[in-house]
Amino acid sequence: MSLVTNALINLAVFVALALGGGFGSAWYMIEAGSRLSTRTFGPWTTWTTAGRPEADPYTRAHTARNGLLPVSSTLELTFRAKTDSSGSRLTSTCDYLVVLQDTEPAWWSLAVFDGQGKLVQNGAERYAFNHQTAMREPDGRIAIVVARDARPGNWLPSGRSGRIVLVLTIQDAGFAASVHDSGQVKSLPEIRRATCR
Amino acid sequence: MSVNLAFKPKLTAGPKLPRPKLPAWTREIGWRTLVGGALLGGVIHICATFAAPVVGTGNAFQRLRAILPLNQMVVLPAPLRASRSCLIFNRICCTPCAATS
Repeated sequence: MSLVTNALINLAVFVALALGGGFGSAWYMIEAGSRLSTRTFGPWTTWTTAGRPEADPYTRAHTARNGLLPVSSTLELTFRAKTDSSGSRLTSTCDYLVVLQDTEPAWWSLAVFDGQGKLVQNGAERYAFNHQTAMREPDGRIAIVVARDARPGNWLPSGRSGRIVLVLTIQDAGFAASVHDSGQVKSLPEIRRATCR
Repeated sequence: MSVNLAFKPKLTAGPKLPRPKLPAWTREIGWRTLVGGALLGGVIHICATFAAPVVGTGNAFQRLRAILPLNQMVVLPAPLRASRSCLIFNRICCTPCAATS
């Protein structure tokens, strides 16, 4: 191979490695997060320093890039789940059961968004449940069914949007502190897949 | 009936698979290119991460600033329709809900 070809190959590899590696890794760290900036509990992931002045650069970039408006994570934590508890991607073609328990006295809210983070359009105009609007079982548990078609009880429509994202918001300073301290954390609800079409 | 616990199956060599060969041009890549590319990639990674909040025009405050009145406190209710929500992963209702509050 000639000297020019050799130089061109090296230049191409250099540029591809620098641009691809640099922007690619930055995109991944900003969009998906890593252990440096997020904590994961089963399918639920939260950005631990969101909404705080001392947020790390990845969290700042994630918040700004996605147009998020988080409350300080010392008071409120927002968990997002893109998969069910078995690791399969959440889609509107399947029905899911989310059972919340042991959440008192926290304020919580569970909402469904589509893959782009927008609310799922539905005829019932129902987008979320919280600790006041959800119906409780006799034993105190709260079972929320995420499904395309209407279900009895706490039904959250998933529409026909394809991929869906569940967002669980918990306002509880004690809970947030336990997450930040990496201590014992109350179990977050399991997302069980019921049926698929 | 006795069982020979020390039995070991005899492993026979299968047909040898050809080892995958890298294209010839990959042998021309020098280690300096790889190290230099990785270093510059690291610099780009840091710059992109720090630049994202500054350069981006779609953060929540910029989106809300365009639709909310100046120096006036407005309660943003939850949307009655999905189309009225303007922030992602948020149920804040933007115009026209804000205008009527």
